[in-house]
Amino acid sequence: MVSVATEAFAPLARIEMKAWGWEVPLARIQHPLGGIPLDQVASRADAVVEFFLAQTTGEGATAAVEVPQIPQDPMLRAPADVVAFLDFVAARGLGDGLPVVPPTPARVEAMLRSCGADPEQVVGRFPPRRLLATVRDVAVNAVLAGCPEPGFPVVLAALRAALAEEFNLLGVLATTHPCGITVIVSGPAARSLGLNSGLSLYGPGSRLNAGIGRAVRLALQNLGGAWPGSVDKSTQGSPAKYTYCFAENLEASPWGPYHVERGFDASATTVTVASGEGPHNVHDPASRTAESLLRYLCTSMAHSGHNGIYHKGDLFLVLCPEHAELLASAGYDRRRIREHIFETARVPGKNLGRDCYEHFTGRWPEDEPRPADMETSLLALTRGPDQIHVLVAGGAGKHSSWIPTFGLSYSATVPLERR
Amino acid sequence: MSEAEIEIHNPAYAGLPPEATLQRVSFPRLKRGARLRLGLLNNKKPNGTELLKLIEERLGRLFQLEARTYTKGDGAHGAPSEMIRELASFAEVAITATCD
Repeated sequence: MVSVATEAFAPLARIEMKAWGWEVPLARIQHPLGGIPLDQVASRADAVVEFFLAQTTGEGATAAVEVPQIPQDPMLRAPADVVAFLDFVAARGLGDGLPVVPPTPARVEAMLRSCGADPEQVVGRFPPRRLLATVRDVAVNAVLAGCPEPGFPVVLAALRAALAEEFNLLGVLATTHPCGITVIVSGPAARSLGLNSGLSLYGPGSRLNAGIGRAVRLALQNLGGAWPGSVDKSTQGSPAKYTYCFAENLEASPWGPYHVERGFDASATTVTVASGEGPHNVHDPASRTAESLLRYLCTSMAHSGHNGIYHKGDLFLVLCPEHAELLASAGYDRRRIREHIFETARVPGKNLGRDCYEHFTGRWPEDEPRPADMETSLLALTRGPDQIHVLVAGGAGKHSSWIPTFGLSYSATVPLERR
Repeated sequence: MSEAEIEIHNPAYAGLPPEATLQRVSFPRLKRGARLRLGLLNNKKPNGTELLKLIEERLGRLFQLEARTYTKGDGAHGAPSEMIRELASFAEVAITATCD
């Protein structure tokens, strides 16, 4: 087998193959491949053939691929000085650029005691490295992230949810798309834990929200190997990748808890993960009717540029309490809102431009009706209403938000286990 | 350890061993003009189809080629197991792609 990768993707290819136990000849070609003229594609084909001949006939030479050098020892000796410690972490690719807490044995043990879980219990194999990570391994990253101890069970639940097949964690971590791991806590424990579901819920401010989201990210980066640049191939990155955790504002929800719609008992607390872009704001300070507000929400969501219109996947509509109240008072429940958005928020095919329209419709999901005419087609944001998730969060004011996702990923929900 | 140092857990360390030991893929030694069954795995990324067609065309000038192309659902998921099995049973050499 020969694997072909552009230079920018060669480390990802090498790490992924290694995780599956294979050392495969890797033909590196100049980046990019997409969007270049055919004569340039031809020169890359020549490079692959040259590599192929080197492998099969011994004609020519092959080049090595640089992969990140990450420390392998279970324990490390690090500078005690605060600033020197930050440099130490940064130099080894173990952080995210912000200050971190040294995961000393005492701090890690305290994190583990707070949770009560067996430290050696396996949480899962996080791609692309696919090493088996235990509760203890995750606790190290929770300390590093500055996660308060009460948030650790949420971190573990979020990581378990992220391993659901439909979430496509490898794709989420390695894509060029700017998605973070959006962690949504729904249920009574969100309040008792002290998670922020009100004003400024996306941050900044809550150490618990921030710590949970950051611990999830750092665990996936360090244990999974989603190092930005070499494996996390997000073209521009996103502030959403640092930390992205919030709670549903249950007290302000006219429709009860979100997780009931996902099949859980109302008394449960759940943790949902989604491959969310940063929240997109919808400011409607003036609508007096549900119809007016829905029109504004739908026109705000129906724009090209996000993955939903061609890859489908989920999207989340996070209504502020005042917008939710307006819709509920007019008789709208979650299902009516979802159906209205699905039918109404459509992107004209012609907005994509000819090249993108042909590219995306040429690779349309096989089980989806394929749009025909660019000039007249109206593209839905999801496969159907059920992929539109409606929940209530935020404080006073009339700003709602919606969260498009990676598209080739569906959200997953698990119950929060607390001992 | 000096006083100016602390001991920490390595955040990138996972204590349990990897699933598989590393195996180097053996490559058939070929002479130009030899018969070759080639499998091409297309990830449907932009220009991926064009690249693989050009590779097939060029290798066709160098070997007695029998080529089959297998196309994944999308670039962000692995190929289905059945497709991999089919490819492996047919091809002496497979070419896959990871790019954008």
